[in-house]
Amino acid sequence: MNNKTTNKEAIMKSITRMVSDKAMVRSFLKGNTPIEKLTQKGIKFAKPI
Amino acid sequence: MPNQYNYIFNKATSSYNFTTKNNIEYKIVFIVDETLDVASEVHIENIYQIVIEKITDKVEPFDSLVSKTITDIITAFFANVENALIYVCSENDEKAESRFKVFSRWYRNSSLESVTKVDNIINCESEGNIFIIYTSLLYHNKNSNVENILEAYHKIEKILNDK
Repeated sequence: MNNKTTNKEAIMKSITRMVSDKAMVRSFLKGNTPIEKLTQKGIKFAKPI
Repeated sequence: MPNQYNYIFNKATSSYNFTTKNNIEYKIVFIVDETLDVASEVHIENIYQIVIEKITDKVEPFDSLVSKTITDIITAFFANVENALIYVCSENDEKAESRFKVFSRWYRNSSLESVTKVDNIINCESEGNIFIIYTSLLYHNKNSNVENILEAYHKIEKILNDK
């Protein structure tokens, strides 16, 4: 039961972060948020191409 | 007549940029996504979230070259078959459902035959509010880690939608 709750909380936190990361990146791309804020939040850009 | 727009990588924004014939600028970014790790027994590498942003505010007339250019970028992304991609739309953004539908339509019309797309629509509860998050996962059919990726992806939906 506890494990289930912990799991759910951890996943919820992670999903919330996924959504907020996207919002912050969108704002950055539009020039409304400085890169430092993204770095502070731990958002890592990739160059997979 | 080109069949797509040329795109360039901008180091300053870490984005792949292109501008359409109507002077609409697009930026596409890949960020490292560790969401699946939380639901997995093992560390899963090469998972990225894609952010596709129309930078120019004005309304753009239909332009088929935009989706073709995005297909080209994503095709290049899957040159590494171990890469996987998450696309997410949250209801925090009022256009989430329509963005999700547009992305699904783009995939159906794309020529990405060796890439599979699966969707998760997740009901989330945060601070007493319930909202819907639309997600899609794209992976190459030759991805050697697909079992772990899919298990984690479906586990997220199962745990969050479990009452």
